[in-house]
Amino acid sequence: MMDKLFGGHYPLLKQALHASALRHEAIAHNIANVNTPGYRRIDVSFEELLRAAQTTPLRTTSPRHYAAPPPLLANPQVVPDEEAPMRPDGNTVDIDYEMAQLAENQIRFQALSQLITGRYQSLKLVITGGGGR
Amino acid sequence: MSLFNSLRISASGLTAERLRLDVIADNLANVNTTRTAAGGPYRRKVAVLEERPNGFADLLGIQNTSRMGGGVRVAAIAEDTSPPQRVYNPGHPDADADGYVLMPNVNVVTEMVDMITATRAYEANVTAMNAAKQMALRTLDIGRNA
Amino acid sequence: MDIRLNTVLPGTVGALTSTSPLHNREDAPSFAETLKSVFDKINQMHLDSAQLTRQFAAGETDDLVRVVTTAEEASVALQLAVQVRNRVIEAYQEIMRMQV
Repeated sequence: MMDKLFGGHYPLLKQALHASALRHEAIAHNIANVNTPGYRRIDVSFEELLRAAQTTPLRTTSPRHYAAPPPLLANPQVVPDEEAPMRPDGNTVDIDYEMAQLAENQIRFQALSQLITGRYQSLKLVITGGGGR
Repeated sequence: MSLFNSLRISASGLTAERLRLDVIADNLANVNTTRTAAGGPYRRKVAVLEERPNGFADLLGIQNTSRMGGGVRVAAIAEDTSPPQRVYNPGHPDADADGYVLMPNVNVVTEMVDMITATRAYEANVTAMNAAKQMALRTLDIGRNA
Repeated sequence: MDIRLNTVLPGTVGALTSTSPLHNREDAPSFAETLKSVFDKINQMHLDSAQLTRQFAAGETDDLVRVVTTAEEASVALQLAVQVRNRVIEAYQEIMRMQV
């Protein structure tokens, strides 16, 4: 029963939220080291790992099943960014790029947490049957 | 843990940039100082930054943050070893026999540019810290009836 | 604000508030069938929302507006379904209590 309750795409939502928090840590680290000579920026790889892990779509046995790939999980990884251009002092952090990433990640985090909240609230609503009259 | 560590990382950035700013202010204040306790003109100071290792995470053996450090720190405040500028000023009390004075190797324009860079980095770290705080507070709201 | 329930869940208003007595029309769908079709639509809305949410979490779509609005629509539809279910059960219990 617990699988039905916390199955579907819910584990993926949780993982994506983790990845977003980890990504913020990486961005904060890049920003803190914007003036450190020789520092190479880092990033978090999650969506790419997810895409790589996806195999064939689910077999559908009913017209009401949607033929989407199974929401496989991937562990978010901190990876060094090899392709970032380097300044003369060896630093690869572009402060404007980091600030843009910061804003985007913040919004993404908020959206994901809101979607998870919606999921919890729907479950509670169905369980309590609308909470009476 | 990620979000709390983010706060610490941003705080380390704030500390490092503030220290840089102090060093730059020191340089600017002493741009014309010809006498120091050690003898000779003032020598430009440079704050050397380095990536701070994430000792805490290494201790716990956390896989995900194995490549992430613990922010930044000022490794040392070093002296700029470039030679002082020789300026012709025979009326100066510290002029040598040829009328040249040894002035500090501080270039005001360079210091101003460094100051702007440090200020911008400081503000960026403030923004990152605010974002981490907002995300952490938002996490606490998950599940609470919006 | 002028909310047309019929645009959100087509067929609902006609089915639930029909003025002509249903038992007079031979081709009218039964109440059970109507209810089932409404719940099927709500279920489909939830499946669509789940699909979009999954895509967003995996980074395959950037359309935040669509993700959020679909999720909220599904949530409202679910609340409607729960209330309808409660009313139907109440009505059934009331009928069963009637002494014949």
